[in-house]
Amino acid sequence: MSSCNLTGEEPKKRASANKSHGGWWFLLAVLLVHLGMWQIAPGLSAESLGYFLQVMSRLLPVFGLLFLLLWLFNLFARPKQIKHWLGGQSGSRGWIFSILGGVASMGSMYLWYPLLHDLKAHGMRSSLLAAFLYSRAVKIPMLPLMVHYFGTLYTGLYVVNILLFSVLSGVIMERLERGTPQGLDDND
Amino acid sequence: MIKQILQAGRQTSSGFFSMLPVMLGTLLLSSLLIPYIPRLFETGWFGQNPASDALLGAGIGSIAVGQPVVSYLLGGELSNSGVTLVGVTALVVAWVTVGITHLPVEAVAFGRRFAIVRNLLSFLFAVVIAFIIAGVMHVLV
Repeated sequence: MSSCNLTGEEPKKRASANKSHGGWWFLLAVLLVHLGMWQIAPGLSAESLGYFLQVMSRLLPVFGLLFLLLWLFNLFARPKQIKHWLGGQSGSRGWIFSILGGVASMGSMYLWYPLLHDLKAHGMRSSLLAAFLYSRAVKIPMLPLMVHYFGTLYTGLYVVNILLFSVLSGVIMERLERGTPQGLDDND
Repeated sequence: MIKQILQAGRQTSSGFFSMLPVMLGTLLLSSLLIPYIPRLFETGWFGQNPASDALLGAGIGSIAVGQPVVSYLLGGELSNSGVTLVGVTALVVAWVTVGITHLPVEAVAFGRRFAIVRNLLSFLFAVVIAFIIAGVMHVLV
């Protein structure tokens, strides 16, 4: 099953992904769009860049922290342990960990992609990854604010639905992966 | 131990810097889209019927990025201006579960197929959840 990526193929895949220049071409294309925008609507372009700088100033220190966390993760994480907690045989324990992990995860999604990428490379099931990503929609610190705007009943329904649909999302993703010969994780 | 620390450092740098241009590009792209979102609300597209409100809400939520609190504020404003609960809920749910502007990063991290299928599924779920919540609220309130 392709959801367990401890087959020896993954390092090759990751190495080739790391050598790829696609990311830089993408960045160049977006910079060109910004340049075009600057020519057409300088006001809007300045507004966009202002927003970008604002976001970056907020994210930069966290990127540093993320780098440190990833380093520690790579230093101490053992593929066997990860496979045990979140791999193919993790069962209901894996679901509980990934959903609670998603709910507890804070900060921008950008900060979680590299860590989840590493977890997946070390054997995390696609279904649990999908469940983690979906359950992030429940933000416990934000719930009082949601109650303020929409009421307790609405907030309760929202939380229950997100948690149920995070499981459904994981189950469907895994079914689709099983039904696709090359799985869902190719980058071709 | 020092060898392990250095090896982990190399491994981390390699993975982190391979994703950096995509993350920067995605943030730049989303900064271009964000200023247009409030303008969409002035077009009068909302309020036609629950189904189109749900699709429009989920569509806007899918391209939007930012703190969930912004979606609550926008949702609250839309609700006050007469947009159906279905539309508002679809926007709030899609805002935090679908990420069109995140798609390039997600594709690099987990694979293109995974990213596309997961986002399509989340878009569909946002519409379904919107109808479930609005339906239950209609019955109970």
